[in-house]
Amino acid sequence: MHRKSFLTGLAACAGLALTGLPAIAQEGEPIKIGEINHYKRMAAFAEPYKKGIDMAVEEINEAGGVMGRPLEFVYRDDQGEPGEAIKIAEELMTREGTVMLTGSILSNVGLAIASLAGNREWVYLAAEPLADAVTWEQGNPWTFRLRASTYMQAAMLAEAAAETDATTYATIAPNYAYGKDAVAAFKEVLTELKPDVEFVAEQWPALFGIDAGAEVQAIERAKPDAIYNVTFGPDLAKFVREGNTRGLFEDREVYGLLSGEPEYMEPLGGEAPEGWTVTGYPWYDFEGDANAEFVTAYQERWDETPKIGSLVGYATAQSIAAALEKAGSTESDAIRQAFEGLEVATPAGEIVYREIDNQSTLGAWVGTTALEDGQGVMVDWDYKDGADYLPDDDAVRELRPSE
Amino acid sequence: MGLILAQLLTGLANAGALFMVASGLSLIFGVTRIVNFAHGSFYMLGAYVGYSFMQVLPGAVGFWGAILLAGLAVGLIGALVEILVLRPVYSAPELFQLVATFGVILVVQDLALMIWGPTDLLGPRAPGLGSIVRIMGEPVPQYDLALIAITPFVALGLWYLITRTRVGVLVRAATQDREMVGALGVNQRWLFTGTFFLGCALAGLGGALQLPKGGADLLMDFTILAQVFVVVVIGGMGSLPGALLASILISVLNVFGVTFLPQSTLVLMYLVMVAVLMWRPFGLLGREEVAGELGQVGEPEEPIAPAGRAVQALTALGLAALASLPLWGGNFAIVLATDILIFCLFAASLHFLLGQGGLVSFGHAAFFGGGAYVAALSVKYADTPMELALLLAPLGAGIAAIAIGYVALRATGVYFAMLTLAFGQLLWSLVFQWGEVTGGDDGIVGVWPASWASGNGVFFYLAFTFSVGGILLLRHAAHAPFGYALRAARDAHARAEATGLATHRLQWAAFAFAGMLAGLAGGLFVFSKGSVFPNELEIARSFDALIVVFLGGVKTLSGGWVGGAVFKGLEDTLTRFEYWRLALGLTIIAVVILAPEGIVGGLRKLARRLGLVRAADAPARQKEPAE
Amino acid sequence: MMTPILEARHLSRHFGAIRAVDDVSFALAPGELLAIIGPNGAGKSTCFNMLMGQLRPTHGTVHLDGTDITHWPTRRIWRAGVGRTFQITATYPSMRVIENVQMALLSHHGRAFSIIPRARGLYRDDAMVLLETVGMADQAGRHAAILAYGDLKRLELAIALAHDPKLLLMDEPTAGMAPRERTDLMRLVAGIVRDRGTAVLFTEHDMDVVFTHAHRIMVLNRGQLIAEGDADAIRADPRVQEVYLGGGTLAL
Repeated sequence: MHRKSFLTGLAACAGLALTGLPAIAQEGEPIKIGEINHYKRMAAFAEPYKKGIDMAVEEINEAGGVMGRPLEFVYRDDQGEPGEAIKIAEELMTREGTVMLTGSILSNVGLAIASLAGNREWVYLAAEPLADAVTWEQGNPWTFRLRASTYMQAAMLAEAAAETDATTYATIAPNYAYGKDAVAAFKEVLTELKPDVEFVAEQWPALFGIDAGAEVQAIERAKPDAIYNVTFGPDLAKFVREGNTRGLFEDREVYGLLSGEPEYMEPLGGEAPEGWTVTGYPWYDFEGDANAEFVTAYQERWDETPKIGSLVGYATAQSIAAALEKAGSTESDAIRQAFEGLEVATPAGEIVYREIDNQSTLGAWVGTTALEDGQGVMVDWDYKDGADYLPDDDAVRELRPSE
Repeated sequence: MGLILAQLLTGLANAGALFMVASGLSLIFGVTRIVNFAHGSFYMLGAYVGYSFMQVLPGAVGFWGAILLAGLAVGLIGALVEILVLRPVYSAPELFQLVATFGVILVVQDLALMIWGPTDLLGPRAPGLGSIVRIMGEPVPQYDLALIAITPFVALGLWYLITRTRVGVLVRAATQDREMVGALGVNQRWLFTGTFFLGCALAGLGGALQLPKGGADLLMDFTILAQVFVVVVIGGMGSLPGALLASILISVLNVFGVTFLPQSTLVLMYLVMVAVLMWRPFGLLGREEVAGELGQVGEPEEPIAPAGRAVQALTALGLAALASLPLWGGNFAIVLATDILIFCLFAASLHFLLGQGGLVSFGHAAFFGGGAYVAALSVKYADTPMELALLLAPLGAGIAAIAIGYVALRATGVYFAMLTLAFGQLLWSLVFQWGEVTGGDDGIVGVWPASWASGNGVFFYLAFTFSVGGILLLRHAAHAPFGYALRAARDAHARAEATGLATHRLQWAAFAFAGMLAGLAGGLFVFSKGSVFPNELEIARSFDALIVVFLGGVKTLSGGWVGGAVFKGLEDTLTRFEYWRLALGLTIIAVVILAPEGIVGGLRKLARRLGLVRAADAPARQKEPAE
Repeated sequence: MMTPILEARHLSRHFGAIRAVDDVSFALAPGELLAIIGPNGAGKSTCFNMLMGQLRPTHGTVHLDGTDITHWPTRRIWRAGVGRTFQITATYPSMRVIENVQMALLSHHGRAFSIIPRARGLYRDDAMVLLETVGMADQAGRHAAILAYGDLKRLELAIALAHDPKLLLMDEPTAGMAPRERTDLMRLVAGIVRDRGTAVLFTEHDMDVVFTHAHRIMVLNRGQLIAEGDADAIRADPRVQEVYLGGGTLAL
């Protein structure tokens, strides 16, 4: 627990909310960016994300801002409700004078804002939402996405899974859109890479309402060679504990989507699963690269360790600053055009916002979980470039019906 | 065979914590007639407090001690809440207290975030019970067995307390007949406080006991609440054996559902609830509700009268000012006003049901969200133009209301409320899970108004026309024979039937009427937002409307929309601040305590005291005949 | 003999092993004022509830004007011309006095589901006439929730008369009233019987009221009809004496 830093963070937030960022010696009005998120409902995710943004904004403004003007994020809480987010988006864009929108962790809120953005012709950078629909089925020219989507991350795990001897799989995923997408993508890619695999059980616990004991029994009953896990948060904690207790994971390959992210791994403490193949963020292992620099700077700035959200937040602000510089204007259409094909140097490396579907090529780290000093970590990890895990262009074009 | 047994044991272990939470809620309802929405919050507090104690108390003794201490601490918090928040409002109309408990939810959410931080906490394992026992070859966690062993003790302890002690006699007496307890010279206040202590302590125990199977997180209050409601209703409100039976039934059913129908996880529980209530409207072991038991208490409602000249002029002026908003307000003012107008129509439709019909629905979002989905689906699959979709929305919601009302109106009072809740949740889970058609959690997006109405200003006029029109229609209906007949059925059911009123059909019609207007609000909502998600059908949305109606004032004609406007405005203001849930929760509690008749009722009283309006006949309680 | 307006044949209602009403048969002629008396728990209210369709008989039938109405719902019986008042007055406390009566008239005219006109102005004059009949015209605008008990009883009578019933069932019409009020109310009822030819069946505890006004009296005890006749016959009936005073004389 980081009580002290948490409180400092709060104080900083409060200060920000009241006064806005102290402009550091630039000329002109700040350029405002509207950031809508579930700061209360998903505080564990939103706070590191916000700190990442704040840090990037401080750095950008110290370096002279964007187009000579300071950058400023206006943060608003939408309670995790799409309807509220729409209202706030209207306010930000028409009253607060923000030039574009970003934010949301939940996919449904992201999709709602994306739909509004397409209708109103405002630029929206969906930084965190993972749903494939944001850039594909429901994609529109005004919506861009930073993070590697569900499909991309599932494809990375499927690739790893295809290399093993396991042929029978059980899946467990929360019973809602993200879970279903994640399972569908994994099945699709894995079946393509290894046609003889068989899915012997599909478990769909209610989101945040898992009956872990029963799920573990049901999977055990199917006797699969491997398990693909999409549960997260409190569901993951319960699943892992019951699974460990009942020996479900012994002698089985387990693939965990996002399970290696600090947001999910840290709460598990010494009970983090060992030997799972996961996507995540091994910040503790970086040495001598941009990633390591970011981690060090973040720890210095906030006195706490970074989460994946911290990186995403940081890259979000970087992307927006880069787009504005490239556009040379704060007009929506200029920003939109600037985002197309935009190249940004993030701590994780150079990324591109693809012209074909507005998806960035930010990748993810794939590795194996292990325990070190009573804490779950990823070992033998590899950074997978997002560009390698996207369907070919024809397929993508078909996935974007609006164009 | 071994697997079945192992699954049965898993189900029984899950039933333990569920029973404790459910029995607490049931007990509180049985004695105080309060539907404690905040019960999930006490469960959450139990988990967090238990976790904190376990951090400082060592070993097995510390572990079990921490659980007991958590129960004790949460019980004390519950008693404190009862004394500070609920005592001042016992004389308010029944069910009004649930508004106060809703405020408590918000306050607890922010306090928990402040104290324990945002990160999920993983519960420690029980010392010495961390591994498994093999039963017929199947692994069964030791802690599951411990839970299975503890539950009967708690149940027996409760049974002993209720049936063998003086306190229990009083509790039972209060459950059967509250007036009698007062007549026995028992201090009802402390009986209520004691019941709250016990009920909340049970919730806290449940929260702490489940720590080794999971942990503590900030979403667990709402996660458990729906499930606990289901258990209590299936078992029968106020019945402890019922709670035990239903906990076991639901838990075991869930376990087998997970194995044999893994897709059914959400729907199953609500299907069972609806089925049980159709078969036994008062739950498995519940007792039939005494007629009028949950009716209006407190001061009798005043006769309604059409607005006088002055009020009419004032209303016209206000409406004119609102109508001219696009001329002087900015874009956001228009968007916000549209939001508020739509919500006001939704709230007013529920207010009609509650105020005129005396029908407390916990699932009104089914019709708001239902209308929204009808509109969105018709646009998505049939390219329906907006004008037609806005007609289909109330139509679809009305048909849904006719169907749901047919079943729900077989019950009365709290059971009616719970049936509407069950149907609302059933509809929600269907929409949530039937992703192929409804888009599931990803919703339906891209549902924008027709081009002529796409400007925010034009759409504002559209929403203004329908919302104000709808609210005026509801108000007119209250003055029409239909409204009078509804109030007659509510005031004196037997009298109404004995003067030829088809009370059931009247209530059914009112349910459909209110559902239709909620559906219209839902239709407007979709086009104002461009998208719809299952949130709009959720239990939280139903609660929003319910809270607003009570806050505005049930026994007034304008409580619905006034409450809606105030609440939405307040929400828009407060969410700009860091700890807005705390502020909103405290505001709600303050309104509840200061104005138990709601905002409109409170203002009316104030205006009378200041001599601004003439008082009607001084109200007094209807006297009982001296037999 | 002309068709009785109301006829109960072998009416019984059992609650488990308890026979609340046990094989009761009687008939009521048009324009007759018939009283049912009996100690508490004799089955009077149960009997009433069965006659009005609010309780289903275990056995037996009820005929109205020769038509079997045993299984009719209350409101259909009402529509067939039966009004009733309740032991504990049932009026609409959220309405004004006159609106209580208007409500009954609205129902009588089949407009309960109407949402077109405002209810306030409908059948106001008819309602005033009814209120005048029961002597409540001066209180027409008052809030029903704050009426004195005797006034509520009179209001209830006005409601019950709204559709000009041919039969009126009155469950303890004078309970809870002062002696003076009782006399007034029963005189009023007797007048209605006389003027309109309405038949009235009523239960009553006050023997004064019963013996003064009833044309005929039935005595129920433990669910059974034990005596029937005019005032003198009932006074003299030894079984009635037994029931009421354990063998003493019925003091009148």
